[in-house]
Amino acid sequence: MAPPSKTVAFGLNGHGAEVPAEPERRLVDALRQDLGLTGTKIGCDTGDCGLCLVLIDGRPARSCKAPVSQVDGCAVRTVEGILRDGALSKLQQTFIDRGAAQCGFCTPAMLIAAHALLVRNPTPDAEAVRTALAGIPCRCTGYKSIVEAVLAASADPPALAAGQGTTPVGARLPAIDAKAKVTGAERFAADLPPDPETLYVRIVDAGDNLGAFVIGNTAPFLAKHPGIVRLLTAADSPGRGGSSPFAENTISYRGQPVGALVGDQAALAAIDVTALPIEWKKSASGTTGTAREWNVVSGDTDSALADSHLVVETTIDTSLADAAILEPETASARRKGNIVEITAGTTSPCADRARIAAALGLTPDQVRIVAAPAGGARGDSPLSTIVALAAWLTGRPARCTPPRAQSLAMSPKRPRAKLSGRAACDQWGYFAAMDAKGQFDIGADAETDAGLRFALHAPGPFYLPAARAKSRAEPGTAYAASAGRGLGTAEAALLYDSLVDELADQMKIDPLQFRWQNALRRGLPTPSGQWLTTSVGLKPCLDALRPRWQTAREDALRYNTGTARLKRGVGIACGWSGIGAPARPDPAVARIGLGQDGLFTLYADAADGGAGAGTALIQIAAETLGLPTGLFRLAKADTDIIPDAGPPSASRRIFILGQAVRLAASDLKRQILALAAVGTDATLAVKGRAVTVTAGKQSKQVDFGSLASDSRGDTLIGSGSFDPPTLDLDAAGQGLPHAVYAFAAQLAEVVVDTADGSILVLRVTAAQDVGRAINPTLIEGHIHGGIVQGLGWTLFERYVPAESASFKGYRIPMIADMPTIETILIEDPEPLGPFGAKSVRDAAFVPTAPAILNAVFNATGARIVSLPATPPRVLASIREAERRRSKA
Amino acid sequence: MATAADGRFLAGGHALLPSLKQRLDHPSDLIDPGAIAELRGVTKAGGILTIGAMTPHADVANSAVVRASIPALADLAAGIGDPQVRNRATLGGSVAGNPTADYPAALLGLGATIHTDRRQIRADDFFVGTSKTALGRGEIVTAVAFPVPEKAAYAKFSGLASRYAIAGVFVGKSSKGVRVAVTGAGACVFRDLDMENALAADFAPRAIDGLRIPVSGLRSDRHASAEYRAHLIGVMARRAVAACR
Repeated sequence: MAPPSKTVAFGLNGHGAEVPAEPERRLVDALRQDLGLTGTKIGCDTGDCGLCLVLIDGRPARSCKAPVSQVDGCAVRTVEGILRDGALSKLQQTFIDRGAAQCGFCTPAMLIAAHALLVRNPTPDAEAVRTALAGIPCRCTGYKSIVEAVLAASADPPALAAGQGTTPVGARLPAIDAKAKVTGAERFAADLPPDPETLYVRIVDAGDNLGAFVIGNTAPFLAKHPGIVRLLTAADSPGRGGSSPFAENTISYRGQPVGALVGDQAALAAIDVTALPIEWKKSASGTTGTAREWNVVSGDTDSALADSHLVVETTIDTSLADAAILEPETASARRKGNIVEITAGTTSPCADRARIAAALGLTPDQVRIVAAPAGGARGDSPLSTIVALAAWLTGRPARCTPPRAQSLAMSPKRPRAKLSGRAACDQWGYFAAMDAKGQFDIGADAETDAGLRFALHAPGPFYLPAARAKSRAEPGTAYAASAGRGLGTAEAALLYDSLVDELADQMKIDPLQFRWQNALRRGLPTPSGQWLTTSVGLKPCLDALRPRWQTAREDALRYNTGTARLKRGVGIACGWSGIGAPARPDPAVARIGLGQDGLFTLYADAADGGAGAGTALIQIAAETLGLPTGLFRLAKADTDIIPDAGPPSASRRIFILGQAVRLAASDLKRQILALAAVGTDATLAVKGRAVTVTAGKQSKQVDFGSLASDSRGDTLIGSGSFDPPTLDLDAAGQGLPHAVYAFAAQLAEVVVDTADGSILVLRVTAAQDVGRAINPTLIEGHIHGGIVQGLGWTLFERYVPAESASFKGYRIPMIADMPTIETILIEDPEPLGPFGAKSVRDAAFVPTAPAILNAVFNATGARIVSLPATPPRVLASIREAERRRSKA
Repeated sequence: MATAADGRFLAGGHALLPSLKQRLDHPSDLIDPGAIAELRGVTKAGGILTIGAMTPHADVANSAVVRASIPALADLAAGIGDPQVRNRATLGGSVAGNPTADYPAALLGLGATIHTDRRQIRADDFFVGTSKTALGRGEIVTAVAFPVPEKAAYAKFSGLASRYAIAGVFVGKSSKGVRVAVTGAGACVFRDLDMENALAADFAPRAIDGLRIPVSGLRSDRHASAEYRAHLIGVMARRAVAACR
């Protein structure tokens, strides 16, 4: 190809830009690499996702599909160009106010598309907004807050729900990082400029090969490729016993890394990795490890089943699912003497540090993790470890962004599950027994609580005289297992709520009433023998749904008279989710420093994929100290700075870390009061470099500007730690596995097309017991996201190797799939939680799938027993139900 | 193109750019015909609607001329992909690139004529197989001429992440008869002659009720079996006939 001889000139955000006219160069690369505008994101790199959206001559277009040669003379606008006179535009402000940016990775594309819409149509309705934003995926928000933000920025905005209260806890405080996310300023890991000395890493994965493999003599291969500095394999990783990021002799899951080439970026790209001398000893299954089993047994289930009035049973199976994070995984690392520093998008920097230290044979204090904002990234893939190893062994900065196909192949998956069970009730519709089994196909040596959480939750949030739940994690299926949202608990709900629905139907008892009369409440035991004594807000959730339930059921009945092919249905389901790790210590530590500059710094591991934990934790700290949230800032999620708070799994951040933050703030307040010596019942006020402490009529100033400070400028530091009280489980699963449970109930309204089998979810009404709503906007955002993720898991998501190598082959919910969502927050304060708060994340996802499936049953009489509920499956179930009815 | 060793024409870039990025294609040159003004736009003369090959889907969807003469074609264009795709991807790229996309159903269902830089090809002769058209090496689609029908409609069922049809049926009725084109269900867009005959006798959804749609030749994959696709063809055909205007 001829060298570029000329340049392309185009308008860019009101200025001029000029880049070399290489014919294959894509606009997105010119923007990000040549012009430094990293607000425009690359999500898939294959033209499928729409996250690289920009305006070309005012029209939204994918900048990964536009060659720069085609924008010659055009006007291009990116997210960096929608500020108004250097200040936030109305649209950016409404995105902040409405909580429309969670992880923020889709935000630039959403903003640009909405901006173009509002220019064309200043008063769009919701349908026009949905049409304009079609094609841009969001994994966090469920799209609702985004649509509302665009409507709020229109020339004719709907009224905004007023913020609640004036105290920090309960306020609809915008997320602290929202401004960076709406301006394109937020730097995700792939946006950070690489060091010029950087070596790149290309991971060599096993593809679909399983079983034993042998790497032959690689010297001739390396000699032929002078751009390659080094090949890393398991032999280079001192860590053993599963801590190596590479397979050792045997592939235990599909897509597992077997090695990594380190070298020059262009040289790596040109290499044919299949030329590496690797011999795959094809075997049916290479997975090793042993099956694990869990039991929860209370009462005599067999007798109860035999003696009961009615027994129903079912079998349900689910499919392999991927988190389909939108941000491409990226890690970079550098070695500084005996320390290796890693920057990557992660939600668990402290856990990453331990894992990487083990793999590199280092002590944890030799490893430093700086968490970049996570665009949905979790950090549980082997990527960071491999890049750290490359930097450690070569001494040069190393970096890797695996292609989307490889990232999808090697990232851990939500495992397939086979669920079966029987449930029985007496003649009045009270539960007699539940017998549940769950089998999870889990890759070898996976660290997962899926099986245990299933067994603990499978009997459901109901009072059961007898219950037996057994689960089994079966190695041998060759996928790494992930901690997917509500993993184990959502599968449990799929089973128990299908059985509950069938019991209610056969007993001819209203399904909501059936659940209500069996629901757990204070003073009743769980199947683990745990007597619930505090917050159990399930009945209030069901009560809150009752009005909508009655209207919707009546509407559906009216709609379904006649023989029209479209049938409406309404379904309900209950969810519960124990918060934190089951039956083992799960501590978190937090610190708060009072800086010489008069600001408080919160040292707490709030690294998350846009869940907004940092914002809520600041609200908790501010409430405790009785000071405005504006005086607080969050320390960077850097393992050199923040204490270990454990992973964000099982929705534990607000409940466990939040309580640690409250205790740290209390400790700091105690220290300030001690300095002031005015007693314990005092209020604080900060002015300049002094805290004024007032107790009754007495008022005293503490001048912290004159106090000694540490290297970070903190004068006083309060510490707090919290580990929720749990007890070990015995062999029958009896004990105290979770200190606290979150409860939820959801009502789904669907339309089923009985000609083609498609399901449209019209509306979901969600009631959730949150203990105390620290930040209603953030909580509602989680509930919206949980529902739409649940909808995707129910209707679309199924990972198939090779075919799901891009977003084109893995369907996730898009804006057109979004139902109308109404959320109702129930506050039954939990004494163990900070200001009564419980966590919300998992419980928002758990009831969605069974609520939708129960609605399909209500519409058609067909019970769907396989996820995802694809149109062919639904159609087959409907036909089967019709056959059964005509026989009967 | 005559001087390029192994050139590729670049339309909206929606198929070509991703395959270049993934190194699935290694052209010697990229030739961008978009700059040639006559390849873009819509004209109507003597009952024929002619659309330039470089006209993006959004322009077809929003064209008052298309909407007035063949509303089914405007609706079809408005239903392809998402707004970003419709703003860039073009009729020519779609026709030349993928015989299971939505547009090929309209070409076949309306009996369109494909104009190239060398000749004119009837739609019936244009789509010849999986990813195959009658285009010769270096031959370029310049426009498509659609005879304006009495009425027409397109109904598709997707449900895929790619938004391609699992089955889409385009029905066109004109003085020359009824044409029924099926896309997405087989390896290549095709006409269903049984349906055409039945609808010629009675142009109503009920005319299709008794027909058996052959399963052989239909695609079977994890999204849908050939049997389900055959069922969908009937459902979509009935919907298209009912929607004809």
